[in-house]
Amino acid sequence: MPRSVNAVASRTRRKKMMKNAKGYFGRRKNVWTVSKNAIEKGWTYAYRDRKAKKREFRKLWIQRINAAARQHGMNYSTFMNGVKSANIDLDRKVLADLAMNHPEAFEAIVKQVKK
Amino acid sequence: MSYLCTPFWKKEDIMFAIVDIAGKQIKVEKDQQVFTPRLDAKEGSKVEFDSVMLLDDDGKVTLGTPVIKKAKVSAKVIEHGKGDKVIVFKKKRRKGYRVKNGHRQSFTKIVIESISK
Repeated sequence: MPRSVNAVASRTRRKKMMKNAKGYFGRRKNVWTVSKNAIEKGWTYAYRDRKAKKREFRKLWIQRINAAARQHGMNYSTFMNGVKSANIDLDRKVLADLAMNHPEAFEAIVKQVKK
Repeated sequence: MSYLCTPFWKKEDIMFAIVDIAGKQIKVEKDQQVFTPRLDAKEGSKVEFDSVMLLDDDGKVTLGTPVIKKAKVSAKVIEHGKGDKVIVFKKKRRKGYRVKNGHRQSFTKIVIESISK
């Protein structure tokens, strides 16, 4: 009996996946066994790092707020405590933005906090 | 006071507000277009946000505790849209566990028409 293989279907299946490996380096872009792993790893890291990105940015904002607060003779911790007890509900993203781009607004917050 | 880092743009006579739009605090100026989380309003209709948390009118800063009473930001909905597709892929080795989903976050594009004190 002649041997039958399903080459058409498997080729399309692999081709569909390999489309995602465009631009990869070396054999990662055209060898199925290597490529498959590279793509899956890539997606996994992307998923993980979308979450890590949020933490990274929060870290950066905290550093910026800290630097700005220290210019006014406070540290981050006392400043944030003051912000909370002054009933200011601005988040860290906004506070960092103000510290960097609108020092006058940040100064107003510091004044309110020091009251 | 001195800048922590020189702002790449420093315009004169600017007025901006920090407003809470659907749970996100966004810095807005007049005529600025912003992407917000999906809002429940028709395209072309007007929306108002009354939780303004900070107003800066060219250096004169008003702080809200936590919001400024009577201050309002009104905007017009330009369009509803969807962001780029994100692939959600999870896999556990040797356990036969694989999930692959696509996701497109929906957003609303609005243009800020006025900031009132």
